Amino acid sequence: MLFNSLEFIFRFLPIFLIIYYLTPARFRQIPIFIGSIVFYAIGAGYMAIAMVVLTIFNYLLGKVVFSGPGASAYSSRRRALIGAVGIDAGALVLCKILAAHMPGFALPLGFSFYIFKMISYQVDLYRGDIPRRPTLMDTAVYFAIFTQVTQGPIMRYNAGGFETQERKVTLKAIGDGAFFFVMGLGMKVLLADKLSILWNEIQKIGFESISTPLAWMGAVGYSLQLYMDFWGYSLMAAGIGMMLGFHFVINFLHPYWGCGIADFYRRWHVTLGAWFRDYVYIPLGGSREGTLRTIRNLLIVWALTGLWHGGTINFILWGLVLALLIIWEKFVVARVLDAAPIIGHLHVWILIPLTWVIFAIPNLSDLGVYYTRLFPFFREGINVNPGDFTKYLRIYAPFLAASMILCVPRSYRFLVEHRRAIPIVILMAVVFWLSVYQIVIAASNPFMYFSF
Amino acid sequence: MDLFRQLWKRIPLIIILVATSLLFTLIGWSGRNTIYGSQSIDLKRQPYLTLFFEGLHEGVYPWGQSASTSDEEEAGELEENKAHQSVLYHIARSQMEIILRPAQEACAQLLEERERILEELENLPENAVMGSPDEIPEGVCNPVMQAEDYGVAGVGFLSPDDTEYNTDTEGIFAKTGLYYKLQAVNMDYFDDALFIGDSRTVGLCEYGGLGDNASFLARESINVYNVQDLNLKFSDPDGDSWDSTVDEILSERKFGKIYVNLGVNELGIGTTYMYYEKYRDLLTKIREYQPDAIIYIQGIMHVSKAKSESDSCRNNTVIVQRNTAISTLANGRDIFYIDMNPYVCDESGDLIADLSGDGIHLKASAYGNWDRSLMENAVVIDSNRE
Repeated sequence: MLFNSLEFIFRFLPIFLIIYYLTPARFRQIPIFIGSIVFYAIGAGYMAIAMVVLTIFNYLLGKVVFSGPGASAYSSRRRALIGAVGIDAGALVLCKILAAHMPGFALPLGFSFYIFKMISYQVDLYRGDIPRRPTLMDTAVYFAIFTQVTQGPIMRYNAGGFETQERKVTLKAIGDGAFFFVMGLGMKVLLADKLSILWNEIQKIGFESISTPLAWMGAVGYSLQLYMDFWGYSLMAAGIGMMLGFHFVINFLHPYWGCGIADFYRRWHVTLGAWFRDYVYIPLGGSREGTLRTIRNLLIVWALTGLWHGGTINFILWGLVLALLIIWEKFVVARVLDAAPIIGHLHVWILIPLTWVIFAIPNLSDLGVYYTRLFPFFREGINVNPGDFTKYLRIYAPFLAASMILCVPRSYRFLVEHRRAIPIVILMAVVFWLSVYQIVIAASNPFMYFSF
Repeated sequence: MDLFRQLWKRIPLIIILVATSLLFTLIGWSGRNTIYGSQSIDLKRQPYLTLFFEGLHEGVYPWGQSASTSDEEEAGELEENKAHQSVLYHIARSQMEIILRPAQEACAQLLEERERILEELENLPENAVMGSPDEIPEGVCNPVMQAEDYGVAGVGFLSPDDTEYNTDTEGIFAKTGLYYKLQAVNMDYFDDALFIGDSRTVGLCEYGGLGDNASFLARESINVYNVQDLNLKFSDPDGDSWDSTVDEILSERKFGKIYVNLGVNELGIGTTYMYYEKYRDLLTKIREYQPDAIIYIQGIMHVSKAKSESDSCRNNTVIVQRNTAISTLANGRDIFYIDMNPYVCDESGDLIADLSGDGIHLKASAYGNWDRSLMENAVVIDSNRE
């Protein structure tokens, strides 16, 4: 069940919220837990059992790992930590390999996300970042909460809200939550889903036959599609979280306004970046142990980031290319970037779309063909229609333009600051109903997105 | 009132959304048996307001049907009346003729016909054969290409195997019993050709080699059910293009050949028989406007193996059944069935994966195969003989 489905918006969410608000505050873990299991089981079927088993397993070992008052002996804590992290990470790696190489096997819904939460849970318990011993219910709510279980954000246990007493529901927060939910819904349904058709069209034509301008438009369109899709989803998740009494979780901080590739990734999928920083990069020594060590650590972190996104070769390549770009920025052109931030911005606007192309195309020879269309110096296209760019620009310009406007921090902030002003409220209501209209049409005619 | 003001200050968006939801739900609920009666809804998954939005999409408004629909209805009734009268007139006239026409005259005509057929036989051109109207001789149309059945086709998209297709598309050329065989032609054969179709035909126009010769009337996502109602894009060989309908183009221009390629968007709509019936309607319409054109029914291009073994509607089992159905509309006289699939499929009848980016369309670089199939399977009618 996606956030952008009729079942979720008009069935699950209203029923859940009513039950949640009617439940006395101190018992509200129960509706969250039951609601989340129902939500997950609707999407993942019997895989919900796997999640429950992993939850109990992590809770039991976590009891040993815990370092607060009444902690176990150091050696048993350490053994339990290694055991828990080893099993969690092993399960993730195994499932990724199976998903990449065994036809018919799909990674359980949200697996990469909640396994990462489980690992951070154990490490935080071990390091003493979680001061009170979590109950089984608190642990289960943290792993399974439906706002985060399928696509993150990968929040930390101690980031606030997972224990009942930390949540405070106010009318204002509910109103703001609805605002962020609708904004995210619009980004996902009205922009990302439309832009995804452009990428589809380019695949349909065949990379060898697209004109160079269309190849660039495809790279930009795909980049914006990913951004609107994922940022939109994160805003929906954050909005529902606020309605339940959580703080707003920042997962995207205007990445396309970043100055350089490293800065981009400090702002893109913030909770994932922070996870790799805190649980991989810094434990490896971070950047404090000399240039060579730093370069090694960056390569490891980014290769793992690539693998986390998918098991095929292009994701590793994508991660390594980003690592090289970040190393280049850090060690070679750092001064230039300081002196002329525009170069950093140009890195983001030109290099990032080029790296997303690697992300998008699993097959390396297809990827090579796409790059020869982006840079048509080595090989000519086959049967290229020079008019293709204007044809698709005419169709997709509004969606590209709207997405680009949302990349500018000021436009987003304007909406957020004026979210209670009547014109913005009305705009959001219109966005909501336009999105619902799109969802209805797509649901009653599943062939619409793929109309030929 | 004060409570409302407080709420309005804090959660205005939620108030508006709840109020409009209730309104749309009320509209959907109250119209569930009337204006939205034809729509189905699964209340476990969809709210009543789905009816309202689906209605909007289909032009059904809560304040009544759109004005143009009622106009259309009136016009339809008028047409029906006219058609009725004309049928009565024709029946009466033919009865009169039968009674009045002297038997002698009929005999003379028969003899004359016999003479003519004998003469035809003597000077039979190379690309022609004689045959009885009951069975089209071999080589006059392409056979329907078969494909592996992977057993995933949804029953709802098929018709029973013993369905009879009542072909009543009479021939205009070669009334004598002469059939013309498919043969190879040059590019200039297509100078007076029109291609009608969906996104696949759009691709043929943009990436095939016939764009400088032929005209195209096509649009993405159209199907045989709506092709006559929607605006399509017309592209002429000079490179100009504009929006137009099938009626407009067929009534304003004259074509020697009309190629139809429709069927991929309908794979998930209705059964084979329904598709076949709408297809026949379209051919009848084309024939009305263009009595002298050769009409080509192009078999639906197959999909890739990956699609065909996993998709309940877009698979080659449904495609082959539908091609078999529309191929019966060919009469071998002025309507021909041609099938491009041997040019782009492997021996299992699956579209070769390398030729397609999405398993359904040819890649731009593969349209040459389609061009070739068209150039090697055309009918040349010796106009002096007709």
